Amino acid sequence: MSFPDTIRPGALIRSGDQPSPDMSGWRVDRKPAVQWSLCVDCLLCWAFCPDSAVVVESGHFAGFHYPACKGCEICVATCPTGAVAMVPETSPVGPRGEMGGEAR
Amino acid sequence: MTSWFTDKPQDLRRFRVLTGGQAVAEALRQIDPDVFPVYPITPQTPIIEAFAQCVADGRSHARILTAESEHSAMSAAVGAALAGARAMTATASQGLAYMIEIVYLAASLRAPVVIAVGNRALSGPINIHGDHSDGMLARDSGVVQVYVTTAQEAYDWMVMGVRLAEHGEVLLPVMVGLDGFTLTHSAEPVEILADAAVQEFVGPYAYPYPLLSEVAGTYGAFAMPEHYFEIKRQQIAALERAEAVLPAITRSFAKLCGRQYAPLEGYCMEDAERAMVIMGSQRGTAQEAVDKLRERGQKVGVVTVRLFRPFPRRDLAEQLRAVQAIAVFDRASTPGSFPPLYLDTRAAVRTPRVDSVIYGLGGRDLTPDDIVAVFDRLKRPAVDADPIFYAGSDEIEQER
Repeated sequence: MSFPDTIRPGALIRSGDQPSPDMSGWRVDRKPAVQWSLCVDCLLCWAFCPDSAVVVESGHFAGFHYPACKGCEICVATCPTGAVAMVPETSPVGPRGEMGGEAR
Repeated sequence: MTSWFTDKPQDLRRFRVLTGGQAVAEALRQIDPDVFPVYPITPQTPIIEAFAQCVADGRSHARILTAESEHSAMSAAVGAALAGARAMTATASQGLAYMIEIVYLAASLRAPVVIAVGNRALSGPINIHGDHSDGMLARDSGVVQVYVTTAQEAYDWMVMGVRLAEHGEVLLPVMVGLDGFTLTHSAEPVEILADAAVQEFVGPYAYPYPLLSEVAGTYGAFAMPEHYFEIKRQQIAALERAEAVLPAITRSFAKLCGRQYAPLEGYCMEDAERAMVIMGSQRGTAQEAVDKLRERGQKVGVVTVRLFRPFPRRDLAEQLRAVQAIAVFDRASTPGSFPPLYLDTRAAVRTPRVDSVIYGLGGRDLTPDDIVAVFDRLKRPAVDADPIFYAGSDEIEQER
């Protein structure tokens, strides 16, 4: 195994050097989802997520990036309005865990 | 007046009587680094005292960071160098011992920090005098190591060291070692270049991947075995390249002042049958002893190694090609084995007879008579039972 061309001097790592690994397998039967009607877009879940699995687009909460989510439920614990909840993996939610209407 | 290095006429006004420590401080003032993190005791050298005075007098814009330990001083230097600031530091003995963990990191993170080391013995017993034991702690860290022989060389190699450290093909720390007391505290005439000439020679600091840039990055990440091995290999290759890029730097420096340096230097080596190899300030003593023996018609010579890491093995082999017997003088020991310069020389040459001499530990004087005795010893058959000769301790039957 040899990859000297891909290593910068000092082993400096830049964003995008490595593909993000799929961590979905860490979750046990449940994944986070958001009830849009309850969400106040406070972004606390984004601030507290240890795996950058909360997607923010143009400054607004846009759902979950499931491949990065390990199912730790910190987002659920930090949500002040109960908008984020764990649902079964097989639940018919949107690709980013969207439920109940449109994002604010 | 002509200098002792060159036939070019020299401007006497450029000469000042300086200790090695003051000469390094003058180089620091002219290079004018952005950050100079240091810990001012344990023991330190006069370098930081003299340079701190320059900063206090407004003659350098450097920020002197007095850290709570050498470990932190070196950490600050690494951080500053990677952030995009030119960082230099100075230490000695126990101070370097305490820095050593971060010296390894500086090399692997490719932080081009120039470190002046007043080479002194390590405790214990407690001793503050000159020897190379402290520098040898950093031998395998991946830094470039230079051991100078005069205060002038200390000044010159600090200036050249910046270019070598920051060379795009190298990007490694450079450690300039000057013998404690023999060089750090002894005064001699030193030619100081014009401030503008030094500043133009070193140029602006241009680290290619500064942390304080528009592009985010992770510095000092964890590496699994497969990556660790390749990163180490890349770092080793960079150190080897330091030898390849050095001649261009020394040539360009020679244009400034006429002093042309090489990784090592032979004295009376053209027809030498017996030779010694040495590093550091005792070169003068060695040359005096060689002169003495040459007067008696003995074909002896001395090779002084300046660049210790990367080790100039091909140049050394070339210098020692026709020699029949070699004595390697180490000012450090490797208890239980042979000392560092001996092992490197042994690996570089095919000469059957290579003796090891340990001298000057804790500052013990090496006299011309000691050296003459070692050259006499080289004429007699090797004593396998007693492979290392301890200068000043072991008796040798002298030829009268």
